[in-house]
Amino acid sequence: MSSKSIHVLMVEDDAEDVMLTKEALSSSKVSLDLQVVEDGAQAMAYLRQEPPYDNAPRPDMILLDLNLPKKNGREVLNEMREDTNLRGIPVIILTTSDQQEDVLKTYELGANCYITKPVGLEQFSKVVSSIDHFWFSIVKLPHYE
Amino acid sequence: MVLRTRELVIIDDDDEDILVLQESLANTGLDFHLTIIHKGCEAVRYFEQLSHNSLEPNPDLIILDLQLPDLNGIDLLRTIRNDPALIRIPIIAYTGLDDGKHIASCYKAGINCCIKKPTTIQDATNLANSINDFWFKTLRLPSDYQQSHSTHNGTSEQNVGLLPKTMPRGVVN
Repeated sequence: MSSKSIHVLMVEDDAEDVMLTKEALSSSKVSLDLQVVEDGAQAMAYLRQEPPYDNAPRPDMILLDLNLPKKNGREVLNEMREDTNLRGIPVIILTTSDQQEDVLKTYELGANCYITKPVGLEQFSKVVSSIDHFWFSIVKLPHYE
Repeated sequence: MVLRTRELVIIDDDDEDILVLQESLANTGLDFHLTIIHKGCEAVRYFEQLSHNSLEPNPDLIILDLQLPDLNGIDLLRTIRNDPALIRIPIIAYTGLDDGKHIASCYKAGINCCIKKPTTIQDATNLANSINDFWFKTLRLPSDYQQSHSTHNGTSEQNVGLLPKTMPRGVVN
């Protein structure tokens, strides 16, 4: 892993989940830059560097909720995978849903992995720490020059 | 997460590397059945058979060495991701290359994640623990929603020309 910060985009409309994620990632061994947008339309604008995200860095990884305002997570994932510039960004689905249809459909659309948010603060933090360890210490993320 | 025997496939031509990873996975306490594929041509045949046999369940996870001498790993990935029967199978690819462009190509081709090939026993132990903790205890996998297909206990090894015959029939969506 290079020494530069890893840019993570979190697409999440639940302020408490954002807060818990930030808290859990604050103890990461790697340098992380976590940006948050609250709906799917903002996420696509961010990824395409459309106003007001003209200078947004390309995320190295995305944490994507499925149930989002304006444009849901499935639509975001689908648009990303159809866009050659965005296709290669790893997407981790982080959602309350454990429905078969959501799991199978999002893997079909190209989700890199799927996590159902656990109930309870401690469990949620544990899951985020697990993402941190696996994706930022074990995995080689794509880096684009 | 679901407690059942996990079906793993390793596609790698190095017996020693396979053995180290297999033992490391066994040491995590993971209950798994391992199918080993040594050659690129066997891998291509394996996926063709899996694709055509709609009653055969997909494995829980495939670990693919992208640098097999007789296989273009990126082409294989694209083939798998363009096949509706195989599109959801989780694939972890390992590579010895540290080339950013190559890694980016793997993700574009549909790899679930790319990792550095373990070169020491400690690396293999770390990887095995991560696969067990993150992949099988934290994630929802497509195979969690398909009928369990294996009653096999413990670890085993099988060279593949045909699909593993120990698997009872399951259902693939």
